[in-house]
Amino acid sequence: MQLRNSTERIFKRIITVAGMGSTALLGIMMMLTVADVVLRYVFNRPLMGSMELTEYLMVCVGTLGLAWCALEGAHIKVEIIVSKFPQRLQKFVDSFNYILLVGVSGLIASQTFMRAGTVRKLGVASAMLDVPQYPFVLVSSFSYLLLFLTSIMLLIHTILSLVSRAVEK
Amino acid sequence: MSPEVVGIIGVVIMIALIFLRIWVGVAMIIVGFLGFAYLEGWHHALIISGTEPYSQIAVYVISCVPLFILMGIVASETGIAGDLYNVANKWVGNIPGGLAVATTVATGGFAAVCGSSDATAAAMGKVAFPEMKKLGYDSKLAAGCIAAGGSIGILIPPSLGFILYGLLCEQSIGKLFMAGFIPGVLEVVFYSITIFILCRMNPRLGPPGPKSTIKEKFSSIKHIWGMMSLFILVLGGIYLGIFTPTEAGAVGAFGAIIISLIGGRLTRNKFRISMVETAKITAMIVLLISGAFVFLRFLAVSQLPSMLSDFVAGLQVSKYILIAGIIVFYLILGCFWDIFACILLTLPFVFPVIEAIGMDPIWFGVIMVRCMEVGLITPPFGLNIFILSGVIKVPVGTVYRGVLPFVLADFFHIALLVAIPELSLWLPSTM
Repeated sequence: MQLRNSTERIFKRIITVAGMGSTALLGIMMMLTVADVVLRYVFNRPLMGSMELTEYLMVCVGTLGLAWCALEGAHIKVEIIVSKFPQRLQKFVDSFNYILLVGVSGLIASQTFMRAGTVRKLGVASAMLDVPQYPFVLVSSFSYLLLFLTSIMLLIHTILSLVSRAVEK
Repeated sequence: MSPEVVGIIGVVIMIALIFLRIWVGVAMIIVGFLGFAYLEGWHHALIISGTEPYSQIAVYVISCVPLFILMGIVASETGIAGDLYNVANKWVGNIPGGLAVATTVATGGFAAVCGSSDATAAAMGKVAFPEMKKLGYDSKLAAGCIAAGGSIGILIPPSLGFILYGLLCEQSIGKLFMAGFIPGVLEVVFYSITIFILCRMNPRLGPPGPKSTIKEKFSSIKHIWGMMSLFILVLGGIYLGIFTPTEAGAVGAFGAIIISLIGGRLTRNKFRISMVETAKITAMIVLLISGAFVFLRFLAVSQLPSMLSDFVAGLQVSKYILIAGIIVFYLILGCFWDIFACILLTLPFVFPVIEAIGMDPIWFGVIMVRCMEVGLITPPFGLNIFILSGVIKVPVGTVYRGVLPFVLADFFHIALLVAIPELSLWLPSTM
């Protein structure tokens, strides 16, 4: 139990750091675009490749918070039917959903990881600045890996609460 | 099994999964992946699952999503809602129902810096409801005008609804923003007329407030000029082609931060909260977009959308009956589903139909977003109702009864937008 708690604590810390990373990159993305606008209109010298850097940054901003969002139950879902079910049945449904989520996030994490390898081999890079694409595909893969681990944690929690209720009864 | 039948089965399974409370984005990925694997083989499906979640996000125009969200959150965290309300109150608060009209006008103004309806309803609820109660306003009218006014948030630009619509249907986000402007202002006018009529019929609903002097009226403006100038800069920049939506979002977010800092309203904690909230909402939308594009790939190979558009094109019914049917569909759907989920889930089917019957896609975007606004204040979901009820501590039933006259006004407003497409299309046509 203690091992589980400390593992969870460390894991949640990693998720929070990833989430905070996405907020920092969001700030950088904003400043980069503002700088490009100012340099273009005031000094007539736009930032070279700011568009492609923004695209790369968007991947980090958008995906690094996925697990964070999952942990706080913020992803969009439709509660209208299942919320009317008895608590126990709701937990069963949630367990089923988390199993699907484990599958989906694991699939995307592994496939984007392989994609990063392919992109690296092919030497895909941005058109202007020649920034390689693969590190950003890896960030996307890492984010889905975090989501995969989060869904396993949520699944374990749901199953444990089901089992403990059964034992209580 | 024909691809079309596979497509229909896939859609049914996806709806079942969504009603089983699975995340909407995940449901779309599951069905999209499995459906694509069935029709095109596992190898291709695996490739899609590795490429779409990256390639559809590494797109320049998508980066306007977090930037506009940040602009709205910074604005709402730093008290612009209270300032707008104060200004509107000073100008129209002394007429019968004046505070309610002021609330509606202020929500319209707040919507101009915040693209989210629930944030608008929550922010205005905190500010306007206690003031109206202090003056003896009827709870139903007070709550109703805030809940309804909050829904304007996704129609007046910048609007997240329009951004998602533009991304999915490959329409100009700038044109969509402009298209929503006049209908949004008209919505404020419709709600104000509703309040005026209600208070004429029963003056006790909204007694007039104290009169303000000309000096008070003009001095109240000094607190909002910054944010309103920012709104004009952002939208004017898009309109004149100076900014792309992403640049406008970045300038808007940066400007909102600077204005709040100068005004001494952006504390370190508020800034942190704004950034964290933005990152979370962005992640939520990114999962939806990834899911939508995986699902779209499946729909494309199933040929279901083209079958649907051929079917509709072959129907011997008036275009207006079809439009009415689509409007009713969105009004009903909006009552049950989240607006972002509605847009991403239905557009792959509805958009080809819209093209087949020759509707202007920009005009349709406005009508669709407008219809789903109504869903925010109608049972059984009515997200704004629940949020507002929690914020102002008034029973959900009271808020529901309060919004009914505004829902009626919504129907007239939608009818006007359908009857006169130029209301939506004139401004973008001048770009």
